[in-house]
Amino acid sequence: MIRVSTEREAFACLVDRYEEKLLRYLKRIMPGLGEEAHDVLQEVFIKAYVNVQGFDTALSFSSWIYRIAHNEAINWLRKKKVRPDTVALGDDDFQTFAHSMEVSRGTHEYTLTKDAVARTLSHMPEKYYTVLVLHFLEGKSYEEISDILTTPSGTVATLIHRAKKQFSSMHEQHD
Amino acid sequence: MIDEQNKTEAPHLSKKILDLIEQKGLNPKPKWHFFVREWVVWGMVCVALLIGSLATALTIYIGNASRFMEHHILFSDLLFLFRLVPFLWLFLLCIAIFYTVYALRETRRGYRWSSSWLVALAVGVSILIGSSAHALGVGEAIDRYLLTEMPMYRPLTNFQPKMWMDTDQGVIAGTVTNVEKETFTLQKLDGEVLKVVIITENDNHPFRMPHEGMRVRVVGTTTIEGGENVFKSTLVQPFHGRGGPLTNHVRISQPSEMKER
Repeated sequence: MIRVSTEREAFACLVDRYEEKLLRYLKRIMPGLGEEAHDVLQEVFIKAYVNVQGFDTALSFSSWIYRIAHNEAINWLRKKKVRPDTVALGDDDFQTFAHSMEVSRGTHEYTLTKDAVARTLSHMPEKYYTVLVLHFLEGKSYEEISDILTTPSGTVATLIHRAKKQFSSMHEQHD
Repeated sequence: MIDEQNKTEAPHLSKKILDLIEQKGLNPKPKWHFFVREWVVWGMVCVALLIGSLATALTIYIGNASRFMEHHILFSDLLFLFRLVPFLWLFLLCIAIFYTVYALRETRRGYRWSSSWLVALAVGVSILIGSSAHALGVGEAIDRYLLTEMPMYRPLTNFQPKMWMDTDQGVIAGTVTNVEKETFTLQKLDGEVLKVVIITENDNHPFRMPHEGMRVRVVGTTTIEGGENVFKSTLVQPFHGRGGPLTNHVRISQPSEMKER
């Protein structure tokens, strides 16, 4: 009983540590879905608790729990047959993303940059949008993204490269 | 704004989740559950590789057994040659490789390897083990068993023992029953006895004369000499015919030993 209690207390610490990050990530890849993101987050932590003995110590715990979060989000979207709504970029997110994507701001060529970026992201395929969010907004390395998406790191690099190319061409078209 | 909202809710979520765990009576899955799953997946990988290796061994064996024909039909019957290709085993090999790659991806760290690397690994291991199995006679043993016990297998691999009995085609096989200076008597697979003359000026013979009891395949042409059918051979080789009892197969010595004769 004492051991169970200790384990659950430890788990509660993990929930407190990762709650904010995971909720932010879920809202980024499931934009426009308010309360549902909290439901999914709850499921993520339940799954993490039930499968904690399956945690591969070769991974970082962060990558492992992000993997669960990502899979739960995708499953939820597929179950509801919902396509994510228009991406809503906060100012910080926009600045981080724009800087990474080398998009000019405030010039006459890009007058609606923030909205245009959000619109462009909303129309991108899920696999490209996900890697862009994980790399540029969540700050994950290629190896971490590989562990989260269970994809070879070479494929991650290719996806990011193609995502950036597609973003640039779509962004120019929208402009 | 989103962060502030999250901070307000943060203290409650962990309690809510612990209450839910308590309410549903949830417990972590035991470690052995994941251990067993991993071993089951690796077991599937091994089974797939084994099937791939056996398919490779049989492909090599049947390909070799048929190779003699392709050299001497000289592309005059491409359809016949095409049917000699062991498609059944090549197909099984492809299925085995596909399944090996799929199962490897399901292992704990299999996702880290690219598909091309996994395919190369599956093909490489199948060829390595399959070649060794072929050298040990495993392919031949399996082929012989299937030809004997499963009649439906024969048309799938174009098993045609009659092709070794057609003097008009210029290819025959059988057992040497009597040896003389430059001739020997061959009892063909269908029981017919034929005199075979070795053409001495032809350099294609790996050895000059077979010995009694030896099983050989012979390339040449049928002529009539002194009122009897004679087969003038341009090539005589040891015969490892497919089918075992179906072609009355008997093991013979290796070509290197015969070259020394």
